[in-house]
Amino acid sequence: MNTILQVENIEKYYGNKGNITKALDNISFTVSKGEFVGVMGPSGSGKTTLLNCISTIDTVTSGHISIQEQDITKLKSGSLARFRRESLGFIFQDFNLLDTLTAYENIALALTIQKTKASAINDRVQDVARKLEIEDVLKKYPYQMSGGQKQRVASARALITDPSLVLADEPTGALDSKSSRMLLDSMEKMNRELHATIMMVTHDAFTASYAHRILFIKDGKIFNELIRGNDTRKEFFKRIMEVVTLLGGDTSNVL
Amino acid sequence: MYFKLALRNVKKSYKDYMIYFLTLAFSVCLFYTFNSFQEQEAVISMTEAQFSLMAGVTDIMVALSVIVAFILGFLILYANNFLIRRRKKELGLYTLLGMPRRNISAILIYETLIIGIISLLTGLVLGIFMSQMITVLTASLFEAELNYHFIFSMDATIFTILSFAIIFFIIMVFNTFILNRYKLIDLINADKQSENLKIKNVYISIILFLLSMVLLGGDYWFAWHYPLDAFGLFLMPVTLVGCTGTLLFFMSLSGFLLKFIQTSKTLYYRKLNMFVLRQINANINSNFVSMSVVCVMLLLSIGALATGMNLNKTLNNSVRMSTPYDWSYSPTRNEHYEIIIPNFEEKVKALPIDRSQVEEEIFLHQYATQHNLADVFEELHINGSLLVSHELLEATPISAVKLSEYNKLLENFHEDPIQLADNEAYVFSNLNLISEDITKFLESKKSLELFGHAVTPINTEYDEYMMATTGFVGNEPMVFVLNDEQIPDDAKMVGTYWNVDLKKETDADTFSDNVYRAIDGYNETVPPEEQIMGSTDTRQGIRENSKGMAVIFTYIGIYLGIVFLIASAVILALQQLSQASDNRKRYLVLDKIGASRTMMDHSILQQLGIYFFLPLFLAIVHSVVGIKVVNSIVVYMGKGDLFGASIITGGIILLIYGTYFLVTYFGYKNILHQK
Repeated sequence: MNTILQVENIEKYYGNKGNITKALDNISFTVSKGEFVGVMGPSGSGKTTLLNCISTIDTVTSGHISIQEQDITKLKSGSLARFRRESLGFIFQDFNLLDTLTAYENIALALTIQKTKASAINDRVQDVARKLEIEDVLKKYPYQMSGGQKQRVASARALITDPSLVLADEPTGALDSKSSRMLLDSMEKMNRELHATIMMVTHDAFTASYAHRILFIKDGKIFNELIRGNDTRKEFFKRIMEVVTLLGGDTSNVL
Repeated sequence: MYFKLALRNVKKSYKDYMIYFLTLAFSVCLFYTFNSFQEQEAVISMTEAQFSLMAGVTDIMVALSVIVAFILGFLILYANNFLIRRRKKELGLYTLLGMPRRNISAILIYETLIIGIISLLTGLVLGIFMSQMITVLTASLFEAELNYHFIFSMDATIFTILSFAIIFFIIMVFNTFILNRYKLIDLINADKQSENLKIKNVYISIILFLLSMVLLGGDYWFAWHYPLDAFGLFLMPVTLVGCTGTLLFFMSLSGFLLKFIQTSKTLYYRKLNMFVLRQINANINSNFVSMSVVCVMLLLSIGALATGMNLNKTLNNSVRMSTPYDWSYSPTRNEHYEIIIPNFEEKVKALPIDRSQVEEEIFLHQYATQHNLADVFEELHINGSLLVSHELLEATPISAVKLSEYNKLLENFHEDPIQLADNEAYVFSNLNLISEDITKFLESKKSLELFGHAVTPINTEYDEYMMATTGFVGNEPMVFVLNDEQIPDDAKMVGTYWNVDLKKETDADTFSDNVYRAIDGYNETVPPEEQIMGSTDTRQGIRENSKGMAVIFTYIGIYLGIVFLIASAVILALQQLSQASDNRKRYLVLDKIGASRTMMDHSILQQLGIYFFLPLFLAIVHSVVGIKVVNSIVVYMGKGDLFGASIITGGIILLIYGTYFLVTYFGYKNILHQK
């Protein structure tokens, strides 16, 4: 199995000499091609910082992050945007669709900023829309869509460029449970049928149960790792809940 | 402490303040420059007439300044309002922290004061510099000598400071008032309120766009072909149709552009083109009115600047044509263009005048023909301008002059004499209104029977010379120059011009006084019907008069033109900047999905370029037609030099409008890219 993402001993410090906060404290892990990895942790644990560092929106203090054997901590700002649009796909909690564009155009935008030939755009948009079952909303504007539809359009936008890695930040955060389930089904399909490598940050155990492997982060360190293996989702969910209780409850402090 | 806070605020957000500062400084500069005319007398050697003219210009400028102060006052208030809106959240924070309202007002007042004082000083320095340049311009307009030294006008400085002090005071009151009206919750949530987006039907846009094209096209066609009517009888409807067309144009343009560019997939799906187009289309509802207003203001600005500057050239040109002699006397004529004083020439020659001052004395005569304009035009189906009726054409006689006398006139203009064979005539006119019709007649090469001989005009072009120095331009509708012997001795004389060139050291006005004394003396000895009556014009008098008009119109044009220009630029700039914070979210999305900085900057440039330069573009198209219309009115006074005026106008627009465009662009980028 070839490695897509390799994180080596990364640290991220905030603040100055007298007062240092370690947002990320010596974290290392790898993600292989075709994996669906979840990152869980309570608020303030550093999971969003981790995602920001991987997505090149933020920089690490020390350590290395390699995506497809390219060390992104060494990239200059000019090539960062290029790297981001060619190698990464993003799904955000608040969708981040452009309200002035139709669904079709929102998806196509990811291609046009890559300077893809106009003739190739239509086929690719239709193709990804069919796979995510959003063909009927392509002509609609975001304000005419439901939250679940918006998020699937955002997923289509993330997928259409064939990124090495799809980063999802609380993708179900703004959705009701029914839409969440539909979105997660789509993401599972993306992973299984389109072989997309997905790394998803969430604090919701149900959402996390769709992943194959879960990293738990607490106070900037990897606290635990769960692998789904051959478990059903229900069984996996239970195991996750156990860890969450341990993690989030902080019972040791209470007792 | 509050002063310190205010100072730090200004320093911190100087980029936000840039537009405000620029507008204030430009306004102050303009205000000072155009109120400092009085001082120019000190360095320009002017005649007495020019002195009184200059006083008139100064008065007009002061009166205009009051209007300008109102316009600028509103602009500054608008800009101030924009700043307050940008800082709602900050003001909310102060309130939340428990700072009393009056202290927040104090901070705002200090800020206004700081910005006000800095811009006032900058503007004054700029204005003092500008007024030196304007002085040079005045001197060249007057063609007067310049003994240049540095000038500074205390009056203008005080007037400027006073006017702006009042404006600042109003702004302070306004700020306090506005602050008291805001609720805390609105201040805190200021940046969360997002506008409701409504996408309009694009097909309606296409219909509206075509309609606007028809309206504008029709308007242009009418104005182009019937400029006199467009400016006279039909001014209201023409303006109304033009305004409606402009409004519809901007209302539908974005939708039309969108549909149009969507037909080319390669163009539409290229980089951020799609985003820019959608962006403009989405905001057009809040923008099209201001774009139309800006377009009309730019039109006024271009019109004022171009005609103001063109007028000077026009007048100079017409002055040359209408001042062949130092001094001329035109006897009174009746409504049939006939001289009513019997034996005018003999009487004048007998007058007891000291002719030692006279260099040369020439009488030019004009004879009646049996024809009028209706005869030559209507036979050729030249219908003339719409305003000239058949009756008027019929009442306008065609006259004739002797070749020898006309050649004498030409000699005065340093032109070569003309020669005519038998049956040939040379035709000229100085009534510009019908010049096109006369050209048509001349090109037809039709002969006309005059005094029993058929003669054919040999020329198709002519200079619009006057036969005497006179302020009454356009007094010869159509004159045939004929060989001397062709005009019979008994031909009825309809005009006699008494033209005099004086010796160098002689003053034309003194000569005039002498003549009038002699005429008055003569008139007392004869019955009323024998009396000499008429009017005198001197070359010097006409020159000064026209210079005065040129100076007044040029300065009114420049002043108002620049004010309108600044106003339109400020409105656009502020509107774009206040929308920048809404667009910030969208650009953040673009950034996240990997659009590069250059790509985004490029799209900002495109977006602002469309907002700034489309109104300018339409205004230029409008003004090409508009100036043509105005020019055909001005044409009564002679032809001008539009090209030179356009170059200078373009330069001024590029400087001011361009500055605002750049400041907006950098301000916009700053708002979008700030963390």
